[in-house]
Amino acid sequence: MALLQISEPGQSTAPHQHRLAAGIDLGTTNSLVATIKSGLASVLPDDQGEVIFPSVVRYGKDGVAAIGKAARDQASEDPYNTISSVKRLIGLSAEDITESSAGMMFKLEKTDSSVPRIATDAGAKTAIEVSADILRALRTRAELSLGGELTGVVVTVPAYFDDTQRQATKDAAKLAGLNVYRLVNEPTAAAIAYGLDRADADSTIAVYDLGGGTFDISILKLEKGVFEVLSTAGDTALGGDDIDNAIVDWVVAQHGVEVGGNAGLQRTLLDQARVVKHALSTNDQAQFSIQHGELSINSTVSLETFNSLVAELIQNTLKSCRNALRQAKLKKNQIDNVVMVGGSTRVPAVRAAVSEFFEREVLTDINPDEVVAIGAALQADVLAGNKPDSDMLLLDVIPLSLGIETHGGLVEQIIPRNTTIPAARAQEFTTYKDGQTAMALHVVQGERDLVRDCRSLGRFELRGFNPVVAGQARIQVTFQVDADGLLTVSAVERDSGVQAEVQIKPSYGLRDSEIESMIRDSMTNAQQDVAARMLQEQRVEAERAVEALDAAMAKDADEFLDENEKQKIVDAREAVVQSSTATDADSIKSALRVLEKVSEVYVSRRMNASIGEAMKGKTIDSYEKQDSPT
Amino acid sequence: MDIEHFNFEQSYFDLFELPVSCNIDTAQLREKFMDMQRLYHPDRYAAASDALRLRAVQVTAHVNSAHQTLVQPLQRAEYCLQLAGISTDAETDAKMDPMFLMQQMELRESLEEVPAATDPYKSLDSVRKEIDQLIDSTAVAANESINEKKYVDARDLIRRWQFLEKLGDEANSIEAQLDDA
Repeated sequence: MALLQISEPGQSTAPHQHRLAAGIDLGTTNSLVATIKSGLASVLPDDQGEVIFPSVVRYGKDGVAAIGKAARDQASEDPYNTISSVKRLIGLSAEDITESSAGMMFKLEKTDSSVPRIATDAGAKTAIEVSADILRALRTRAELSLGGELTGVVVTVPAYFDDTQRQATKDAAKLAGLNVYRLVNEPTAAAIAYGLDRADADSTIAVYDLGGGTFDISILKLEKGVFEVLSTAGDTALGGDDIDNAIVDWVVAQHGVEVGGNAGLQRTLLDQARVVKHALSTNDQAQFSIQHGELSINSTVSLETFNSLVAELIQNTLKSCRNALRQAKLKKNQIDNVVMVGGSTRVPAVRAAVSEFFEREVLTDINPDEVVAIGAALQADVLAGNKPDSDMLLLDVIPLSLGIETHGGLVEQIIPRNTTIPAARAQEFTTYKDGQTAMALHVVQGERDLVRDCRSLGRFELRGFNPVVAGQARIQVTFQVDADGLLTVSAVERDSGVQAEVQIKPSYGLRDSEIESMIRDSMTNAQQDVAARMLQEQRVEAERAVEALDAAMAKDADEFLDENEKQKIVDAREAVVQSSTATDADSIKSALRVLEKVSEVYVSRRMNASIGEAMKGKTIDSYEKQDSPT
Repeated sequence: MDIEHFNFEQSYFDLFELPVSCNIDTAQLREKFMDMQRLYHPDRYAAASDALRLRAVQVTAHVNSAHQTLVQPLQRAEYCLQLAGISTDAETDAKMDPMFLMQQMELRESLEEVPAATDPYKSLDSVRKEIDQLIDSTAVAANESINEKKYVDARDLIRRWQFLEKLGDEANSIEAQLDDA
């Protein structure tokens, strides 16, 4: 029985209390933070009026030396201390990446840890720490703008992010001192920004996201408030940067210029290419003109030339679109809405090609750089409880199946893909050899039958159960996935009753860092909270039972009980009082159960007596009269 | 039922206020499911205490798995038998009709021949059609047996149904292979 009163969800906050919440689009190239002010979603600018925050951090001897635009502008001066595109590394293990990964420039620290650490002047940095620095800057921006501390945030992640990458993103947010209400898939956030979640009819949505350095296409199905990611495809090395490079290559070829290793000239050329690209979004032609030392270039770029330069890139994105449709088993005409995301979708040729491909108008009303952050802010506002009347609820599914390795390198799926989350599933496993007293459990994610084709999420060891014949031990493994798609696994050997210890070692392995202990503490605390709560409930229960018993006994114990019976009850009552000082809820519970048992006879005699009392003076006749109206 | 008093012990049918039957009102199931999501989903407790948030995860996970069980016809039938105290685990011994086993082997062989066919998609579709029809008729028969409380018959039919669903899965993975090729 619960004695605590809980208000309805959404009503728990006082009506005038507005919680400060924000949505964060933590991007590969750029990040943004948005919030809801007086019912309107807006992205928050810095003091220069810039809303786009480059996801770049430059480290110096004393920590963060520059961040955002400043760090990006200084990148060429100090390349190895300037970390950009860190999102490409988050959640990956040292085996997953090399120093030439995705054309990035960084030096990896040599450590025995499985977590890749980037060497900087401020020491070795993990991708989580670099991301946390970016998030901290966005947090500061939001708090300065809103004039108070953020209660919680929604952070967006690519739909294809696996469990480790999601966990790492959440860890980064925690490290930045942010309370994460929820991780939301980027395409889902974009669909929310367009209000597609409010549509009455079921619909299928394609989200075309062409950013600075990555391209993603996601097909979503929205059915009665449930967003399901049907498929994702894309190219992690395709984006607006390629357009800039294509323009530079064309100009350089036209003028026979040798750029060589001249980083300064390269930077000047790329900056001008970006200006030209932007101009061609609204004009038929643009001037490419630079002055760099002796070199002077002045060239007219026509829209026609530009379109021919981007044609191949666009074709490559459409190839991914076809792939995504095939995976989702859908035809083009089954797509109801196409949402355009990412600055590069401002290029008219891109819009035209996508519109032609899907045979429909594409949604471009919301600024494509801001649309993901705006959707995240809308969801954060709902989660903060600022819109108690809101019916909006995002039900998510897990994108990839979760399972465990069984003998022979096979995968036993425990939670299949597309299961609505949160989800919990338990399954029993047994031992392979006689006398086995320990078991290694390997948690994997993926759709394939063989462990080597799936992604390893973590390894556990369950130790210290009783040795029995092979196949006799019963090990129950429980998977729990929370609303963010994050997994907790526990295992217990049932027959021995021994609570064997399970150690979790995430693959991205922050086992030796402060971050992990911080996160582990928060998990332990949550469990302790529940235990403490149960204990408290049992104590109150015990107190009430003893009070009620004392009151009854004082009244009529001698009337209904002989000495022997009375003594039994008094003893059981004493045991309950004693157990209340214990620190586990179960011992109070069992003492209470004993008390209930020995008091049964007393309770039933009192009950009979009180019924007899109530019936006094009433004859059978009068009852009959009441029952039948005749 | 508020989240504190959520009853984990009641049957899934009781949870969704449905009569225990294989033929359920799926619209009501869906509606009750959405009602409970609105009530218990962790997002509704995003700003609540850790303990309450954990409770919300547990309750919603339970609701989700109850829904999953009832929404899928095979799992629902298995669950009906489980409520009647009859196990449908693969390990439990059930005699399979030799005719049925023959048919299974033939279907499996047809599936194996799909990738080599002149039009693999077409031949996959025809095998799949056959499997789907068998699943439908087996499901109808199994559900009838359960509703008539003929649990032994029902168990054998469910075992067949399980076999057929596995064949269906195999057909899907062959299609995936064809797509990848």
